[in-house]
Amino acid sequence: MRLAALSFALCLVAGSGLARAQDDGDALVKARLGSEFGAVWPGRETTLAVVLEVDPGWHIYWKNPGDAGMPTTVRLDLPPGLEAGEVQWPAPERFVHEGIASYGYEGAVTLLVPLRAAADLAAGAVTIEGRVDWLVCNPDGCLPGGADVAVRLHVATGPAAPTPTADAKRIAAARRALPKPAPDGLRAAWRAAGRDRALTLEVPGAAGLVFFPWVPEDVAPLDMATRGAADGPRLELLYPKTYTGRVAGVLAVRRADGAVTHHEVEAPAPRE
Amino acid sequence: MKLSRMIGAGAAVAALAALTLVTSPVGAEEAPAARARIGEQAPAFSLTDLQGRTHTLEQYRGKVVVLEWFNPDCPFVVKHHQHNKTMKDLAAKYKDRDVVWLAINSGAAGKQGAGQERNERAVREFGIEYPVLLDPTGATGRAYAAVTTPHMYVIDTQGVLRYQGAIDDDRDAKRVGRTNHVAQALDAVLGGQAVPTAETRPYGCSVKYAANP
Repeated sequence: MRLAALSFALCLVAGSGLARAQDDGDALVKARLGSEFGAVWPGRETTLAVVLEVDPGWHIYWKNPGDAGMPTTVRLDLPPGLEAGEVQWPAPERFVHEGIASYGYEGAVTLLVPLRAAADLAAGAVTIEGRVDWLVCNPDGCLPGGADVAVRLHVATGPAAPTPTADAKRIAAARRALPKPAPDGLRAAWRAAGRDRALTLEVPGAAGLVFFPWVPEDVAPLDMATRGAADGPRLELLYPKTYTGRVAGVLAVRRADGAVTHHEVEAPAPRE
Repeated sequence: MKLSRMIGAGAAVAALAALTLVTSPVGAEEAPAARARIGEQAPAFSLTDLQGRTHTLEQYRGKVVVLEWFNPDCPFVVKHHQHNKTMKDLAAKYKDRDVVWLAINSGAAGKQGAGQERNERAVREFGIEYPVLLDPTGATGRAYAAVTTPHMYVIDTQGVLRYQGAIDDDRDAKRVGRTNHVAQALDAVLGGQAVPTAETRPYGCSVKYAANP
């Protein structure tokens, strides 16, 4: 980990020398690449973490930024014998400014990336380099930014017990906070709503719901600033009548005691 | 005066929709979403450009009008005005075919990219050759439900909205897309055809609106 931290620091120094005025967004977010363990094991899966810390008052974006913004992107350059899975995103927060709803993160956020080592991965060490890019915004403006990140890991040869890194706890916490399967009793129903099409999501007993849409990516629900969150067990989303596909996303469910859980939910396409 | 009444009415519908939703989410469809709809008359506006000239939608009846929501400090606007000349080139390409191109900045005073001085500088820096209209109250932006910069609209010679959404199909902050939706819509409208993709999801920075009065 010390090596990884060092190479990251070097990247930042090298990058800042070239910074132009419009690259101030680089400095508003601290990004680094971490790993659950200091090693990978041939034939096994471990987890990498993209650890992001956003300056107070600013936010970066979820995989769907909402009405405006840009998804945070992670690109990894993997040596032969290593394969990364899709980025796993913690449930985002909702930001509403003057009628525009967006989804993302303030403060610290950890994105998880599953990493699989081939069974024939040669002993020694591997360096994983990557690039994280973001759009960082506050209510008054947005700046693009990004950072080169890297982590160096040993390739373990024996069956020795894995030694967790300083990031292992953070990764475990991020994993626990990933959205869960659909909540008990979830009901989804489509109906015609004037010249639009309404989708009701209902979780019996819930004190409040917030929906973060993900599927479809090319059609956004309408009026999400007013419709995307509601008190009570029911949320009604509005789609253009021309949209006839399925809907999926993350649903935040608040219970009467104030506890909030996040769930992956899906509604099938409406029957015509 | 007719204009300000129309815009005021739009805002009232939006406020009513919000109110209805809080008290009775299921009945909300009775108050339709206040937004510019494809195939209907585009909302009227009267805005002033950086030289102090007034532009109304009405005065351009008989021409095809492209509206481009604008904020010179938004990275996505920079993508299409500085890294690439998407907007300038398209406006120039269609200028001789009676297409009027207008940029509208709905940023409130003090917000990123707003104000006379900043936009005058942007016109020089980007080499913009069409009017940039200022909408500091955001009334026109809200009437069109413009959410991003850029957010594009194509209005036909009869004042009917024919396209709204993204400029192209690459939502990246730097790469330009393969399909330019506005060019496609203009070709269809000018050719008397139906617009193949009449609505797309816009992308960009949020419009930096003034707080709701």
